[in-house]
Amino acid sequence: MVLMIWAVCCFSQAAPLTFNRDIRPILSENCFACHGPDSNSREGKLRLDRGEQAVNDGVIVPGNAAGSKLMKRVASTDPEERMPPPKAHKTLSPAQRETLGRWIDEGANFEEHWAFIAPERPALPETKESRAWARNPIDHLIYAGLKKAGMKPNPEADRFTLARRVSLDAIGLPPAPELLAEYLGSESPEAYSRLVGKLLASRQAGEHRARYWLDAARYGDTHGMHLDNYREIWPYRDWVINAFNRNQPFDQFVVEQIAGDLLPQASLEQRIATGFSRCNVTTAEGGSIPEEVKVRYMVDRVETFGTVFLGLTMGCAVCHDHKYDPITMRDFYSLGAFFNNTTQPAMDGNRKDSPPVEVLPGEDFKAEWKQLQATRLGLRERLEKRKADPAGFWQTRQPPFAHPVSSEQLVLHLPLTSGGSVELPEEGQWETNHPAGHRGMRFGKKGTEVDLGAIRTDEPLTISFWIRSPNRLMNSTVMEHLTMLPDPKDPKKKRNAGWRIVSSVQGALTFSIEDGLGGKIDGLLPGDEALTPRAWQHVCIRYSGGQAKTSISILVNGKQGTPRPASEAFVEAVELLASKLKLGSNLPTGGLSDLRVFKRWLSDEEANLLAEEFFVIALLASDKTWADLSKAERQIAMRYVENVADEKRLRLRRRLADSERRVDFIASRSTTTLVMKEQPGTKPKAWILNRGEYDQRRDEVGADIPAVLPALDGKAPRNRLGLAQWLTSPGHPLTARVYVNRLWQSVFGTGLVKTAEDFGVMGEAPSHPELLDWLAVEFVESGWDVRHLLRLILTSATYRQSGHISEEKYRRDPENRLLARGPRLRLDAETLRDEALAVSGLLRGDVGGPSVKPYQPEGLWRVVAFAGSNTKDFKQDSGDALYRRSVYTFWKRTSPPPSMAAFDAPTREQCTVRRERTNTPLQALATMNDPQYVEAARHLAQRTMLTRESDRERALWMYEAVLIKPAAPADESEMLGAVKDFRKIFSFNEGEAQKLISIGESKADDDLAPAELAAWTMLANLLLNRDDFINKN
Amino acid sequence: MNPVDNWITLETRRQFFGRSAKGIGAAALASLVQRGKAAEGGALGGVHFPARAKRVIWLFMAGAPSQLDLFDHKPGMNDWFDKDLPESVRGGQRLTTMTASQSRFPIAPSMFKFGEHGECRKAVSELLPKTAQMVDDLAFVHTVNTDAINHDPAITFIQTGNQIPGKPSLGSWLSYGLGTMNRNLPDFVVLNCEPRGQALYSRLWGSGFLPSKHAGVAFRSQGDPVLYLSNPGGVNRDTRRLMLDRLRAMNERVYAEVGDPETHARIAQYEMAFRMQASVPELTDIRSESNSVRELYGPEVDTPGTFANNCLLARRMAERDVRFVQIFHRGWDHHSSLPNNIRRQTQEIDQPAWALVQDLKHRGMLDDTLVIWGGEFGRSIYSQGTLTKTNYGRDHHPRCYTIWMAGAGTRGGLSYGKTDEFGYNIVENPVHIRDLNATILDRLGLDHERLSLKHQGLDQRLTGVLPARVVSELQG
Repeated sequence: MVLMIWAVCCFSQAAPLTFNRDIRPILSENCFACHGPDSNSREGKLRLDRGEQAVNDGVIVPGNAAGSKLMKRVASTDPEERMPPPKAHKTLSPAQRETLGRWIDEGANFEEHWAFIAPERPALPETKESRAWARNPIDHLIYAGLKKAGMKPNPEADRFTLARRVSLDAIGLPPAPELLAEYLGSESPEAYSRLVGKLLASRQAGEHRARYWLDAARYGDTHGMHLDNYREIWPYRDWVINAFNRNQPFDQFVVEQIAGDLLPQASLEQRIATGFSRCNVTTAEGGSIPEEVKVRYMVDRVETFGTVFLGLTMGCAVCHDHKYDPITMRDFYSLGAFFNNTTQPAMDGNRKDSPPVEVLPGEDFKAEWKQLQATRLGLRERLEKRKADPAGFWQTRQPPFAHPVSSEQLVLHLPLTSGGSVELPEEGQWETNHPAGHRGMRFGKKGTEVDLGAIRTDEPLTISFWIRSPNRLMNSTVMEHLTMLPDPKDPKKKRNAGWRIVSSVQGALTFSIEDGLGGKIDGLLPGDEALTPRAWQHVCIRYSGGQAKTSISILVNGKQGTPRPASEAFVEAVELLASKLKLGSNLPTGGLSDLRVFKRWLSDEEANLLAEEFFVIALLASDKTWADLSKAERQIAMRYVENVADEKRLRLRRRLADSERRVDFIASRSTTTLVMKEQPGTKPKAWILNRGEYDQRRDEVGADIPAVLPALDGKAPRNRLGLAQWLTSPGHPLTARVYVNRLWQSVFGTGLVKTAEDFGVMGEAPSHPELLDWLAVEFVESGWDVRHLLRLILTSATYRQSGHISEEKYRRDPENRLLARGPRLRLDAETLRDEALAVSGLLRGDVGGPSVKPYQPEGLWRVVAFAGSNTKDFKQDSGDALYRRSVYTFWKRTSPPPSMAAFDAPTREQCTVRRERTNTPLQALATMNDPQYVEAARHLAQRTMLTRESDRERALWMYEAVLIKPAAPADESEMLGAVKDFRKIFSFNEGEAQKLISIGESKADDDLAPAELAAWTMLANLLLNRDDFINKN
Repeated sequence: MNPVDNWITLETRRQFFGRSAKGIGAAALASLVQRGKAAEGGALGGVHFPARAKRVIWLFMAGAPSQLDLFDHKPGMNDWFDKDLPESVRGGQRLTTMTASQSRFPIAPSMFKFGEHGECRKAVSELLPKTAQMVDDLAFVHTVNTDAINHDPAITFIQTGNQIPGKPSLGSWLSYGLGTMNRNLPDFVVLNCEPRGQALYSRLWGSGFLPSKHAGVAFRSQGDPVLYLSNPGGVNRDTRRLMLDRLRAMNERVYAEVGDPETHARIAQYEMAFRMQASVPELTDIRSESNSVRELYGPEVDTPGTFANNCLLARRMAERDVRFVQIFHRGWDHHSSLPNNIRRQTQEIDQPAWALVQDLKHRGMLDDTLVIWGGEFGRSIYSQGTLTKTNYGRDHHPRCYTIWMAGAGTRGGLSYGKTDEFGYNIVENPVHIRDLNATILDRLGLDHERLSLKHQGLDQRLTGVLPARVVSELQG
């Protein structure tokens, strides 16, 4: 078929051959794998995508095909000689050989690939005939193609069909009855374009347009790998919808998504937009190698960037220079460097808010949050400015040095060594083997108790101690500070109030706080990061006082553990009245030493100093001079000065630590969204990786653009902002072409370049190159106005043609590439569901908000999920959430919404710019039996029965509501016959009728007779399965 | 011919010719072998060379079973208990971060006894007494190796030939390339056992960039076996038939008016859906199986979602010419307490796996059904965490592990490939995942280099771009 169109629209025997149109496709398919841009796999040093060398070596002799080695090799019958060689499994057809020969005879002119040359606005091929048909410039260009092929356009579609079609394309829903009536009632020649204008300006238009973009951005509501836990990034989804709704110029739309955070005085909205680069799948699988994982994220970002904006398949260049397109490994990793300079950790921690994130506080906290951020920024700046003088301090330091950190708010300090204040308990013993030769206490069976007064849940707390884990790690209580309170709900029962630290099997360490009112929060470090048996380790547990699970952090040997998933757990602000701290009550062979309890939040550096306590104190007490200190010792001295000795700094740090409580409190109660943030102080860079292996680094590269594309402006910043500005500079050969092609594809089903993801050499050449260029130039010159472009497309005569397919047109152009007819396509999954909700009257909801979970069969998540996943159990929403537009449906990537997946929705695990459009029995089962569709049918039946009286009126009304056109007589009698059949079935069996009309959460109208409602429900079910409901016509 | 059948023929031809221009080169076409009753709708329109296997049943052990405690017997390791794995053996190779920080790598010999079985005298652990009885029908490959070191990428790799999500799975490649052999059931069915341990992902049976009709259909052990299969409450088969007849009449009028062949395709798919509503419940209803057959599969056979139940279903599907059935049995990720955990796991799978092979053999179906048993990688000889004589754990080990195959011309009693005395490195005959996939395709009559589709500018293949080898030695 492709070849046929080719022949029809492009060949004309008289015109000379051109490299891009006629020759490159042959060479790229058959020769470039070994004689293309990839220097490593290049055979015989011959390159055929560029001319110079082939000509110099006599492989091609311009003007003399017979004398060209190329022609001899491709024509040879000797398998040793013949090109392509047998192992390539490729053969040139006689016609292709002839074409090559003719091109050489005509002078063998090479050309740069079309997509790398900036588009220019072509002259319109206006003729008298085309003027008679055309409504705008698009049509002249389409008409020229039809004329060449000897085809005529279809007549305009009828107004009903057109209204439904344009509404589905503009807003993804059938037209609202009022809008439809207004259009049908108007005689004005402007009626249609007024309809288009109103549709494009409605808020549903942005929701519809965003859906395509979210496929490209690979947006999802879970991380996508391993646990596949919940991820919160829906504010990015809403940002996209709003951007389309305010018709934000596409260049700004792109710049903000790639580099919103780097814009001067970036607004919150602009920072949210950078969620685009955070939509990739991430992992926290135990055992993963962080460097490998980071490389994978970078690769995904480059591939996504290439596909979405450049229409180039960058992926090949991860391991080798691209075989077909002039993209080298250096190009790939240089592009990767732009995305590499991020503060994002490799492991997502299975948290919804893996950093960096933006916190979006609700109205209650907005002002305070802003104030807090400003205060903290100020404090940090002052800290930064204040230079420490470690050498000076060293000279003047005065003993004694009792504590490695300030003892402010230190409410308990127990060295737990012999001679201390705590007696050895029964069966206890002193432990040796402590790192510094100190001793610790081993508790025996019972443990011991010390006094410790009440603490408050809304105040900070830090607990620091050394622990020697038991020989066998098991469930052990390390310490607890608890009291029992009567349960407020059931006075006969008692509840714990206070905190405790336990170690579980395999050395996992948990710190928990209970408020005595049923609230409990805990922080956990898994075994591989926490306790090793029989070894002394330092543990520092911090609680900011933020009353949330996220307020707890645990450090082992001064190192912060991987944050655990933050579930929504909170405690009330109460005083915990325990008076005794129990130590080691279930830690028979384990020991503790040097326990400190602070009623303040210790900084990371302080926790570090505590872990190095013995070393720090010994160093301070030594008589070494500053000059004697090693580099490592100087660092410790510096840390001591900055965090302990310098009182002014200390005060600033204290204020910063104090604000932690409110930061945690607000952040844990707010929506968050994933964003990009640049690592301060380092430049974007990457390494070329041999074969793409993370551990085989070759050259280091800085951020740069692939060499084949226009260079980055010398003055442009070498970061994501520079990249984004480069991408949206007016002369860019790809950005506008690639996006207008996707707009075209969303309307006509196939892009002008069919391979919307690949504008490279191996992609398909455009069916209408001039039209593509015209649209691209128009788009840029209109100020990247998406709505303008859509309006042009939707008001063109090309678009307005009837979708009728004559046998001849089908035979000549089954894929409708020449557009001798209007688009007729199966609706996308989301549009189909939204349409059913809309025509039945169930559709609900405003723009935006957290994703929702409408109906889905039980057990789908559980059957694939990891036991510890927080998206293991699907909990269906209720009420309005069941009936919202599908763009708001919760997307679990390892088990996407089933009725959407059946209709070719992608999993959103990777960027998708072109969906398949299949036709399967599983789709039939879904629209017939999915409760969503059955409930919609019943709702529609209800509305019908309440609106009209007689069978005939009802049938006609329902038909029009569903299909947006009046019923033909044959359909009318079909419907009346069907209702009669169904009525007969249900009137004899009211029980069955009742079953059918009870499907779905909404209740059936009690005033309607069940058998009658069931009969009409079946008719609605029938209409909702009609081919012309499932299709755009 | 009625219009629907007519459409199917047309569609088959259309796909065949449509794709031939782009996807599959003329040379490939010329060498396709046409066989008797060809399957319908395959993009290849036939096979590349005569196939030994008509269908595949893959018993996938998700989480990675320990080859060292089941099939790869290392008796010499008993003298190495709690001694360190020599640095020379490990060769500085990468480890997961779960054990990379361990100060030692103490060797944990398998605590299980191995006996020699069958004429081939294959050493099999006492954990698998039934499997041991059929070793003369199995070919063991001890040197399967993979690129990935963690579950998610590794299981994605073995299923789709790529660690990065988004590529088509083996089953969907088969559906795409070979088409369907039956009119009432999907080409590729996935049967999931009860959830336990490591996660699965729908991408493992996804169709990637192939049309979604080639994706595996995950049959469910709860509710409808196929999503939305049952009519809604109150609607019986007669009512549905009535509705479908009316719908068909209406859609015929749509076709008459618009002329879109897709409308006929849709009518055909609704009829197929209606047939599936009968054929699928018939398929999953195992009450029709004789007591002796049910007993073969063991006591759990009647419980949906068990491995035994799924093995019997797999046989029933194979009988009905479902091309590819994959059973996922989970819970093999034994980082700690391996002995206890593996006892439970093997108890669940041993008899049913054996029964499946016997049942197929008895029916003469083992001749053209390829059965494969295995996981996504192996486990390490050194212990993770606690090590005693009777308790140990094992970390991931991608460098070598064991799978077995049976049927469709497999050379029974073969042990292929050798690992060193530590079961750590391969000594001879490595079989990379690419080689394994190439070998499976070969059994089905497909050349892995020619089963390809152009996507994103590349001839995409299950075996990727690096060279892959068909391990023909596995064939008798």
